[in-house]
Amino acid sequence: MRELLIVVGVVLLAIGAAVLVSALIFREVRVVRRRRVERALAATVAERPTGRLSRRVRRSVLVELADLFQQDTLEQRVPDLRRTAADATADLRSRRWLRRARGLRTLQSLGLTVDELLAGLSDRDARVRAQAAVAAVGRGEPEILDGLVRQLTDPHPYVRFTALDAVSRRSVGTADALARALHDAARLTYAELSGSERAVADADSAATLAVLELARSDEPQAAPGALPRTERVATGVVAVALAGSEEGTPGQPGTLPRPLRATTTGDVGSRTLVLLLRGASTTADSTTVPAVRPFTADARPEVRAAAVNALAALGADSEDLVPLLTDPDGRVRAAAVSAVGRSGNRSLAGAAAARLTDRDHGVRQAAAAALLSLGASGNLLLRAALTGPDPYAADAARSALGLPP
Amino acid sequence: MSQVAAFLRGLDWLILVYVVLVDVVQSLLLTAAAIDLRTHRRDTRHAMRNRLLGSAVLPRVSVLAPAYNEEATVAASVTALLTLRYPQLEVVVVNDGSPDRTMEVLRTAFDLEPVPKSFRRVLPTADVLAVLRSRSNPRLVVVDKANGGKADALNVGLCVATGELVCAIDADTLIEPDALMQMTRPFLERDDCVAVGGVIRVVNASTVSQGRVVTARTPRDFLPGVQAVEYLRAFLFGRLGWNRLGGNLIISGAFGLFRREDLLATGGYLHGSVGEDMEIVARLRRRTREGVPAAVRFVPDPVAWTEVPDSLRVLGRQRDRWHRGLTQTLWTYRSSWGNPRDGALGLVVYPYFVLVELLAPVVEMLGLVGLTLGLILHAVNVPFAIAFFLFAYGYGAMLSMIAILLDTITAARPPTRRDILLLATWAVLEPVGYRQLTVFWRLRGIVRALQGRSDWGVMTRTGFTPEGAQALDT
Repeated sequence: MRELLIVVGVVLLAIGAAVLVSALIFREVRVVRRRRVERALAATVAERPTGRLSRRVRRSVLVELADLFQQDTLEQRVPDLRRTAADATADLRSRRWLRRARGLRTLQSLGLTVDELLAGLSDRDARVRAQAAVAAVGRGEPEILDGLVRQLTDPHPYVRFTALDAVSRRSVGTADALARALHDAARLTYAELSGSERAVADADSAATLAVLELARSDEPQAAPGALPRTERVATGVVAVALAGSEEGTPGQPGTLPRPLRATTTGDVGSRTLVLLLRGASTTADSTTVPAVRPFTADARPEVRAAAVNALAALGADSEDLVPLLTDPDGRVRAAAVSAVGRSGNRSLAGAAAARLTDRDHGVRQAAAAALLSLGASGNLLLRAALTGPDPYAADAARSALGLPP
Repeated sequence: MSQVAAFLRGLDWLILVYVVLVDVVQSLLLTAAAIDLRTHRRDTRHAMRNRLLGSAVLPRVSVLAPAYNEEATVAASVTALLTLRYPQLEVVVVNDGSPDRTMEVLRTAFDLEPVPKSFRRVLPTADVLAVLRSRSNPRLVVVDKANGGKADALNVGLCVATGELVCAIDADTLIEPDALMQMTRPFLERDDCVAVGGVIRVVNASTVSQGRVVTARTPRDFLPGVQAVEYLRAFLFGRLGWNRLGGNLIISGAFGLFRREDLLATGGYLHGSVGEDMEIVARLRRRTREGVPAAVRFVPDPVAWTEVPDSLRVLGRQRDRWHRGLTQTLWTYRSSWGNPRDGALGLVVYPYFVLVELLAPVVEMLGLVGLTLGLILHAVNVPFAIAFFLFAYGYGAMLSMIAILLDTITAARPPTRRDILLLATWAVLEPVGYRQLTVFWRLRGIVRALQGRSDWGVMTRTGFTPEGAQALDT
């Protein structure tokens, strides 16, 4: 036993020493790589010859310079750019996700084709899909925008985030793609559609069949980490909406299959809708307003609140918001009264002042802040509330006007 | 006499078995940490952080900075916080009734104006005297309140903050400029993430300018040096290993990011707790019993720097307080020990924390006393004791070296050769003398926890200046 302990102890000490040496070697490698990249970057920027560069260094230089130079300038300055592009294209076909993501990142600077990007957006690995969403920023092709909007319903949260981020960077045409998705989601949710021959014919399309499959699957059979059933159905809804709209004009919904309606009526996931509405609110394109408006009547308060916020951000007619000032849910009332404040429509000051007596603290505070931003008329109403019969309204007004309690 | 010798021999075997078991668990943690680090590096290799700086859809983060008698450093600390690289940032400074000029300094430095005290008082707190916003930097909100302690100040900050995520920091924490970008990622990746922690490194001996670490250096003095090794070990395979196994129970009070809604739902920070950082995480994780998923993640990137005590007296007080906090929290949540209702947390994590983290100083002290008695009574097999020491020492040294390697891999800037060798020197020296001192302090912590003591003691810090350190009591 004693001998064993001694041997093990000595071996452990030797491993420790070897690990220390590895740390020193690793450090040297990091420093050398960093110096090489810095030297190559400096030479490229100064238009001096860089000499022969390794693949890794070439890629690093390319990624660093992509934001600074146009593609033709890059081609002049970065040596062996074509080889780098060829390597990256080969990476896109790799079985390893890390290579596919690397390929997308490299080609992002050199120009990805629509097909390459679409393949990335529907990749089997979430990390590659997220990278593809990053690469899709600024692309205006309708297929890519539709792919991005579809990603708003991705099972993986990070992919949804990267898609929302890409959508929020306002490519031309994003609003149309979102409007189509919202319009069809609304039609499904509120069962406005009447069946048609074409709808039945559409049921043969691959996307529709996929949705039907999703809609029929039971929750317990879902893979771990997968979206809840309603969200999975919603994913399909968007897919069908986008597929169906190919024959229509932008902003016009595609036709939806009858069986699908039967299984999903009132069942589009609220998280999906909130994300789509958030996406719509970032487009700053008022043509999206008609697609957003139906959701102010949704049964779910979080969807109504998101719709109100989107309408306010898109500069919708503030008269639309008046019925929502008396919504049963406090979040919606607060969003509506804040939107009234942002609209600057003084004729609605009275309606906003009525919310000073709301039973919800958040709504009262939002109403007071809205009145402040409505200028003189709002200010007068706030001062009137100071001496009014409702102590809560007086407190909110005092707070907004910065008066002592 | 023979009974004493038999008892000592039994004790030896008990300790041997304990040490081997602990080593096995730590080896598992080490393996898990290595896998997690590899996954993290692969996942983030292509992340373009700079691109996200222009994002309009990142969750808003509110940094909560409680301040008490900080007139000397508050302006520089707040300026550093306001220059963090994060697009949706809000800084909420809570002046906890400081009797010094903290409030005046803030008013002058940031051109504050009063705004309506319009916030939802979800948590009971001491009186809020005023809420002010900076005219020069609208991202800064200052709350002036009656004194109520750190937990109370954080709770006020939680109520006033408007961010989806909140970040609680200590007064002496220096945050890396990209830290919030790194720490936000787990929240974007997982819907059930409630808290995220990161690697905290030791700042003593590093050069600091305008609240930023300009040049990172390994401490040259013994006490800060051995603590630097301890921090690396604790973060880079303790917490990283538990990350993989889903058992993180501690987010450092120096810097942690939380989902605000969840903190409010669990009642905010607890008054009178000396281990509030562990307690809040334990409470958040307890919500899994109510069916609320609560994942706690750890990011293996260095995100913040803290100054460690450089005197034995102050260090002893700190370790005593840490162990009191651990004891209090584990005792509070004793119903989770071995409880299948809490899943892996109850069956694996709590038993580990009780047997390894909490009771380690008790076992180590028994070993030391047993060894001394045995030597006096000639009841110890000296060659065996030396072999055992060599084994334990070799294992500890190997773990420390692996932590140094992981640090070299994860550090934002590669450390110098000298810094690596200096860290290795502290790692070699740490087990002899220093470790035994910490055993005494931690035992004192257990005893004081049993006595119900909850005072924090005075923490003496050295200020950060570009030229070096100057004494500054806070």
